[in-house]
Amino acid sequence: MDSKLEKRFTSVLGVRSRADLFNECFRFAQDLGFSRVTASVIVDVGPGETRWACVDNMPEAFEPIGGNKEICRIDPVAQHCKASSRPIIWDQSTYVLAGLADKWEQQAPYGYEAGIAQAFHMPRRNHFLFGVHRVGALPTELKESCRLVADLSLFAAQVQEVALAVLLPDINDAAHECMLTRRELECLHWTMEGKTAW
Amino acid sequence: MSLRIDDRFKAILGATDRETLLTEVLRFTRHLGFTTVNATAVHDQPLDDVQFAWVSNTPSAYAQLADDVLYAKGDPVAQHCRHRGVPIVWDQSTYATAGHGARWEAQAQFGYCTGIALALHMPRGQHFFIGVDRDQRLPSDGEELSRLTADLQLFAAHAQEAALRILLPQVIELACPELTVRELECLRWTMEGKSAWEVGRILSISEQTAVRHLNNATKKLDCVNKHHAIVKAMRFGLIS
Repeated sequence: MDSKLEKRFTSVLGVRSRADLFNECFRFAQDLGFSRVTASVIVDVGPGETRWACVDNMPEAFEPIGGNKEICRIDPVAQHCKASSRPIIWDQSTYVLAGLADKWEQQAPYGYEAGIAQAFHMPRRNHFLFGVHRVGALPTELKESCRLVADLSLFAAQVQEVALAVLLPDINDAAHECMLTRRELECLHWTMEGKTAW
Repeated sequence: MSLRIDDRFKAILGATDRETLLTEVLRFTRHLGFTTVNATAVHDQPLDDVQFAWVSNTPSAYAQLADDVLYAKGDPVAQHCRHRGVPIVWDQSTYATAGHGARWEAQAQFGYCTGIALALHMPRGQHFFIGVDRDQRLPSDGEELSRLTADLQLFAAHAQEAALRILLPQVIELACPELTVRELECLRWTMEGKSAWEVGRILSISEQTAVRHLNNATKKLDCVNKHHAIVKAMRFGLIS
């Protein structure tokens, strides 16, 4: 654990429970000036089949829209994060440009007017998505918005280290359980390339 | 709005050759207050040789040592980055604690006294490493140090795309054939040890149809049998 960085970035590395994970994420979002937060892990376990778990503070009344996977599929922020590991800073104009001004109108009253999000696409078909959202405009200064995005990026990198173990522990354990020796792997590898034992 | 952030990284996002990549990586490094940089793209598939390709401004006198992959294996910063997805901020104490004080002494003469490094671990065996170094101390102020590290993290998210594309084009260009959902399902159940008959029962299709899907997948993947196809599909990240 690196103690040289500020604790506001690194304390999340010590969390072991969902509640603590949420508290750390929420505290960070608030410090950054955002009132809503979402941290999700997504694991593709097979074709068209995913395991998904998250901590967030989505208002209950917004869940039918915010938790709807069909709606998420057209969301420009979700789409960006699905395809890219670069962070996105978004507001009403992002939705207007995507021809989805209505969708923004729907979510804005629940505290999702503007935000920053970033996805991490990792080995073993694991993905991590972190987003903060708020009411009110984002800074117009490029320097200031870069500061927010860089901070989010650094924090998200810390959260992704612990999120899978906390949110989907069975998948995390399974990934560490199945260890074969190099020789065993080599034999399986050549067998799979179509070779006989001979 | 997102475009504005991308504007700041426009040059690196649009880089198409090593020279531009190095220029942009150097520009960022100096802006951050560091002297040397190494940005490495790695491709690491099970049982294949690991491929490394990088741009750096490592002084030639130190390059022979620094670019030795075996030597890097004992480096605590490289080891951290190999296993972790969080950045490491390092100085002499990092090496002393790891029992590599002499190693630090050797590199310090070339200006590698302190630094920040991180790795991004991505699907399909792709990794990106970036480390910036200098001969001065790191800021003692945690806030300032966190700001530098956050900037590096953000830069890395933008630089990795260009680095992989430019440094390991053969890895990115591996054409990934498109398989249908049914073909993928058949491969996946076969991977679980099911026979074609069993796959047919599970997916409510005939054994013959299951065999057809598996044959099609095998052909599309240019393989000799269904097990070979599974290996290749896994390498492409189509199944896991």
